[in-house]
Amino acid sequence: MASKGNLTLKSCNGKEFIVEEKVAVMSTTIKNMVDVDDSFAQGVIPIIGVDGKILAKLIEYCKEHAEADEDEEVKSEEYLKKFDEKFVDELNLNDLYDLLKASNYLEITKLLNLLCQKVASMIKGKKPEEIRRIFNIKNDFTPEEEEEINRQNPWAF
Amino acid sequence: MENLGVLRAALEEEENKEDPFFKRLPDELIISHILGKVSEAKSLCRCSLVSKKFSSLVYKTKNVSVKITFHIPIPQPKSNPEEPTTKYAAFPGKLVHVVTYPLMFVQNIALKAKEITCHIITGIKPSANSNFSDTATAMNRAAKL
Repeated sequence: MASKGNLTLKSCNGKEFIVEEKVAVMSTTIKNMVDVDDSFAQGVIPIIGVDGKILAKLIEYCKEHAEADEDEEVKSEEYLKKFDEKFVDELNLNDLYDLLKASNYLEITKLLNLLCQKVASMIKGKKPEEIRRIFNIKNDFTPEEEEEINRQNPWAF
Repeated sequence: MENLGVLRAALEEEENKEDPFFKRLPDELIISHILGKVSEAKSLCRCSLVSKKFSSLVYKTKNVSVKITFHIPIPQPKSNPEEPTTKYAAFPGKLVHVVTYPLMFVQNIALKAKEITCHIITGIKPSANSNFSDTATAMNRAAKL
């Protein structure tokens, strides 16, 4: 039966990863695929739109959390917290974006929450021009519009 | 036709270089997961000043919190024992900036949103160098400013 075996995940650029099922089903999308159709459990599951580098990151995260869910003594809450912190700290903006998109598509709720928390912390307490610089956002307000908005919101600065 | 495809790909790449983030993520993800976690009114207001896209997303957010912190002056050793003791809490800065504007901002969001949850968090923070001796003075100052 599929429940005890390994699953093969294939990235969009053809890299294959063999992972334990408990790790793969951290993704609700994969879990639903396996539950509905047994052939996925035996064959290769294509992960559309996710490349090998990002898929490896996703698996690294899911592996730690799946193991922690199974045995709290080996991987304590504190260990997981430190792992999570290090995991998001090492990401550059592009990886952060790719992981966000992938964890949203694959419905890895815990990771999605962690990444969104990271983005939120990058926004909190920052001035508009700092937020633009961090995320490479173009200011598309006209100078007149900008002046009007600043006039209406003196308290935000 | 092939050239057109190449041109479109080049254009898309150019667009993605600038703002790789918020232009490409699903709106719903930004609104509920990211801005929902930012939640604090002042930060959200600043977000709405970043760009037009950002502004439109902020006004769809469903979770806002307003933090109002009262500063309590720590009693200093008195040189004159006749001097009155400070009893009241005071707002840091202008009252309108701390209370009125943030609440007006929340109201603006609420007018546009279908549903919204607003948490008002009040807190007390001991402060060694508060400028205000009591709330009445703080109110007067705010009214003048």
